Amino acid sequence: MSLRSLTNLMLGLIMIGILVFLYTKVQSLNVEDHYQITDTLRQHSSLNFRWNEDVLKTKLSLSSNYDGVTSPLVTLRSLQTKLTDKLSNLIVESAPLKASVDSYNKSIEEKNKLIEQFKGQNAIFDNSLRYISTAVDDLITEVEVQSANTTKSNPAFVALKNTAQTLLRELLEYNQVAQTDLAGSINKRLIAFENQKILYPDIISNKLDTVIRHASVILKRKPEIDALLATIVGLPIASSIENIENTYTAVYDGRLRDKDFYFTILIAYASGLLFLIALIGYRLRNSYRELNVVNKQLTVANETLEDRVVQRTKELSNAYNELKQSQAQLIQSEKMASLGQMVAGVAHEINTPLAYCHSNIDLVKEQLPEIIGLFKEFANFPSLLDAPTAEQQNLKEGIVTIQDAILTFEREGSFDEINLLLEGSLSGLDQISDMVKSLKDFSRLDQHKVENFDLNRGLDSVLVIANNVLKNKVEVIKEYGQLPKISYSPSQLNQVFLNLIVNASQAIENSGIIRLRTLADHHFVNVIVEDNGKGIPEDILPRIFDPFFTTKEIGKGTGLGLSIAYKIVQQHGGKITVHSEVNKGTQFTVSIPISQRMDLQNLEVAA
Amino acid sequence: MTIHQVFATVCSLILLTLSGGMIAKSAEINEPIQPLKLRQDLNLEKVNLGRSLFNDKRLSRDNSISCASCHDINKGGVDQLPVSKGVGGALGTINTPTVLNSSLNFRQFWDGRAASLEEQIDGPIHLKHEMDSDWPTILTKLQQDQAYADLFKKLYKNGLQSENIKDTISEYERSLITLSRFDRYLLGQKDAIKENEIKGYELFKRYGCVACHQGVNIGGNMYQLFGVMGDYFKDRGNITTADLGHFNVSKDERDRHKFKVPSLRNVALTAPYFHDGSAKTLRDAVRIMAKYQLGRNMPEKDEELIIQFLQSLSGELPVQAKGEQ
Repeated sequence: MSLRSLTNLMLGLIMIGILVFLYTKVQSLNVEDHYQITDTLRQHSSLNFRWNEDVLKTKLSLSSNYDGVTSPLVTLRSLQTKLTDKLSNLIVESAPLKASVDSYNKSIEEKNKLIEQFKGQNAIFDNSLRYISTAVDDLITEVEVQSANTTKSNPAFVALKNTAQTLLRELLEYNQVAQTDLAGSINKRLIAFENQKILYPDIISNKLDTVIRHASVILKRKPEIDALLATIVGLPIASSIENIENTYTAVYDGRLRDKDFYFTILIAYASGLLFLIALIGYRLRNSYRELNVVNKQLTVANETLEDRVVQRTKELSNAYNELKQSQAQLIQSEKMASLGQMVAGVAHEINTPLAYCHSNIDLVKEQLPEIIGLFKEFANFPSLLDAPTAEQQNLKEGIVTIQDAILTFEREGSFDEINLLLEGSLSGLDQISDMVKSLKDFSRLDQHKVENFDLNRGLDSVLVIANNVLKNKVEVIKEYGQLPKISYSPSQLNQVFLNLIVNASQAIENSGIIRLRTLADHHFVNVIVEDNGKGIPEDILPRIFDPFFTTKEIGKGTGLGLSIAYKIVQQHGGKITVHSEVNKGTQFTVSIPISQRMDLQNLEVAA
Repeated sequence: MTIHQVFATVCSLILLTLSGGMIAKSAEINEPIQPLKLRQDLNLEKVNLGRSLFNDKRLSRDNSISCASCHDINKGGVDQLPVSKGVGGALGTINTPTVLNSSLNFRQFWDGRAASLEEQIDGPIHLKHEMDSDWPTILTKLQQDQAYADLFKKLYKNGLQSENIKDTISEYERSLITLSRFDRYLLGQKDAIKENEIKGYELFKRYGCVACHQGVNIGGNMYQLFGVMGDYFKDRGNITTADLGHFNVSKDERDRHKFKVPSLRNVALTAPYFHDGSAKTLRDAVRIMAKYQLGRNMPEKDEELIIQFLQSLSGELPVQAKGEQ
């Protein structure tokens, strides 16, 4: 990734990051949460109030059990958890809010402790309060029973009875309003009772003891309970909640302002981004437009290009065809050129048998008048035979003449000679015929393949054509191997071999040897043309197959021979290799595949 | 404004506002003891899983005791011993409170140190003389039980965890509600309890037992001083830490010897009594209560009637709580 694109990516990420940041800032204020918090606070308020109610109901004995005063705590605990949960984020930010929540929670703990104390105290107190009338009644009844048992009225009993009734009245009054002077009075009475206890019979003493105990409970616990209740009611619960509400509202308002602030920023930022996007869009549109123009031009260019390509292709294919034609012509003309070189020799080759055919036939022709004379003598015979008598002599003479003639012929061996001459002539004609056939083979334009083409025979016919070049200078050693018949066009291959053989003979300056070897392996038929001539210098060896490369004088060679040989062998799917040492000789190897992999199309075009 | 004025104002206000409410609530049973209500919102799968765990001895260090070892629900939710035996026969320091109806208690343990059933479980798990284990050990043991792993996976997102174990056990404990004949009586079936038992109840109220043993759980909703009308501990002697009660939790002098008032439901089944297991019979318990809490002499026949009433508080577990057992 290039530095530029990396920077762009970073820039894009930062821009998106800012957007997300602003968005979360705007979203951070959850209105739902806000309502839940205010609602929870309200529930706290009402529950605390209800809890106070429950406590007072218990105090006023409106409740027969403490379940009611115990259960609000459970609800309050869950409300506390809810509030802490909802405020948890804000508490971290706002110390006053944390302080107010902590203070409230502390108050609740305090309240709970106080209520627990109250419950325990009140249960005992309430029990004693309920029981005190019965206890006093029991005491009075017992005192009365005891009084009835004694004959004379016991003033102590009467006093006890009265004091007990007063005590009860005072206690009930004290229960209404716990005044200190009343408490003192009750306390005095209780101390008095305690002191007097032993004066009474056990049965009264026990009852009195019970009264003292329960009255003590009332006396002692009443102010404690009142104090507890006052503390409970006086706990700054409501103000704590109010405090939470205020601090929360402050935080919330702050957040609201923050939100508005961030919202403004977000709007501005988003507008900026939009503007940027619009700008980019505008530029994109412009670029697009430019692109469009270029594109159109390109399309036009493309269309013309196609036409031009078609035209060029056509031209090229024409050129190619022409080239192929000219190549075929080139091959043919090279062939004809080499043939031309051969013509003198070939003519001579033809001339020699032609000459002796001529002289032979001449000789035969010279003999012919005598033979004709002989035949004429024979022709006279019938007339001689017809003569009756006189002509015997003539007949005789005639026969003698014929006999002489025949004898002369026999003596001179004319018949044998004629026979020999004619045989010689026939042989000469055969030679000429061979030569002509070879020439025909060699020079023909058609490229028809010859089934069962025998390469050895092909080489022989080349040697016939090249004979004149070779004779008196080159000894040709043929080392033909057993070759499979192959199916190729002989005319072209022969051209290759002729080229190689002629080149070889030209490489030999005075006299030398050309060794022609043929051998076959699994895939190839190999023809090796080897001479012991002057060899090819190393510096030109790589160029010998180049077209128009020649070492001969201008006008002596086309420079196409080997390049065309190379081409032909290539077209036959074969290869031609050269190995040469200066002053030692050159060896060309032509390898032709046995199986046909000839590029027939190329061959046909070449034809 | 003085304390009295505040109190008087508030009282009058409350009276005014509540009088309407009281009339509306007249359908409620106006008794200090309230009938039980069976909970319908329990998750039965949790209840069943909790029951398995409640009975699983792998919760203790040496796999020797389970929750049920001390809280036998067929024995009133206790082991009926003065103090329980923990791992290796270690003796506890306090009488085992019943697990039955424990969900109705305002706090757990005699000293009220646990606010919830879930919190309570941590106690016996870790105590040396109880299960002497810890959650990592327990989790390691239970994780080898594929059945547990699967059940927890099904019920909880995070599978087998200590808080989920506590949750299931607590859910099971919430199912341990014992409806008694007395509840049926309170709900209007007048012949559900015998005449003597009704008399006993009347005495129970009259003697002031209901001052503390009230509400739906007949106790379990307040702390109370043991020895209101006499010094129980001085008389008994040999004061232990456990005797300090809620003081151990609050460190508030006012809480010395204060205990959570125990529920009297199934009380006939849970002898011996009190946090120290000192009262061997119900009669002993009633007698001690009358003396130290009520400061009353209670004739034997009243004791007898109250005991008969207390026996009517023994209840039956609902089917869902018993499970396959």
